[in-house]
Amino acid sequence: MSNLKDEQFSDRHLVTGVLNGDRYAFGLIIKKTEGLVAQMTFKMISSPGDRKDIAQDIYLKAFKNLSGFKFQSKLSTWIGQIAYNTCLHYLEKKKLLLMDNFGEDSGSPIGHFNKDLKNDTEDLLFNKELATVLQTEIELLKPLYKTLISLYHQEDLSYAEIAEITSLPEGTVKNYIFRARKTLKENLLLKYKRNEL
Amino acid sequence: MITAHLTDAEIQLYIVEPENINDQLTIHVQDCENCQANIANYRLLFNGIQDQVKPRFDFDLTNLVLEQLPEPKRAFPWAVLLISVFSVSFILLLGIFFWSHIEAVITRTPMVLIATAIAAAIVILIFQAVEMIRNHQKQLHALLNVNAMQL
Repeated sequence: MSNLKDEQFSDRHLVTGVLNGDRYAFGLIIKKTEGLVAQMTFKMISSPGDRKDIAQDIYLKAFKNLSGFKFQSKLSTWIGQIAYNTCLHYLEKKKLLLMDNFGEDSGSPIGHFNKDLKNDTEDLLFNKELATVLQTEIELLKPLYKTLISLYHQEDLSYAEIAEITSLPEGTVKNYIFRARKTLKENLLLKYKRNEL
Repeated sequence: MITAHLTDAEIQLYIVEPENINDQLTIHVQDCENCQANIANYRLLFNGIQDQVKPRFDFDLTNLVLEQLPEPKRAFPWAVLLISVFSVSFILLLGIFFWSHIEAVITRTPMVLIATAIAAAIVILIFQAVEMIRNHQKQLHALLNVNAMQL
């Protein structure tokens, strides 16, 4: 019901409302895009205090520049770009690395972290354990890879949309996401092998 | 049939964009336990990432931002002012121009008739005012309900 109502407020409708002085319309824009902004700030910024300032900064910038939004992309993509650039600027200021190089294909033998599970309870426990381990492994990735992986797999953005947000070529986005997944898979395999020994 | 195992890139593509996978590779996967295990690992990984809890801010971002927005600068309503001045001037001019006729109508009409007309006008105005207040309350109520649903 709520989603249906959200759909009714098209980007153009909301932007026109804000430009005509309707603050409530800007509140709706924040509600619509907050998930994406949270995803990006949580993945790129480790300090919770700084996240709060950055999230506000992102929307204040969006409000200030809204008259320059030309509807050439989705409003959420445009706000995603502002979020990405604001986080990037923060990382540069703090001299933090956005990314580093992954190693080349190590050609490690295939292991299994998809064990044969005997029943639903075991299945549930395994999935819970995997979720926790995976969360830790994702946190260990560099900010850019964490962000790209989350935008693709959790926010359901296409490679093209992610490329637009990050201003990276689509091929580079694909390549980085591929590497991030591979690293995650290898790290999970290592972890499960170590546990088995 | 291809004998070499699928690379990581091919396996990821096999899951994400199966339509772009070569038929030979698909045939290989059907008979290769090694590749099937690798695909299962990746599938599990993809599902695991997808099922991760999405981060949420533990503060009310909307209110925080809205409090900091500058007050909108409202343009001076020149159009409304012009129309008002023009309307008042027009009525005054009419009044001045036809004053002798208006005066004659007032003096010649019986007081009872004038009092009745004034009373009728007041009653109509009261009904209209009540209707306007009701409409206003109804619209405000609807707007608040929509606000509550949206936010």
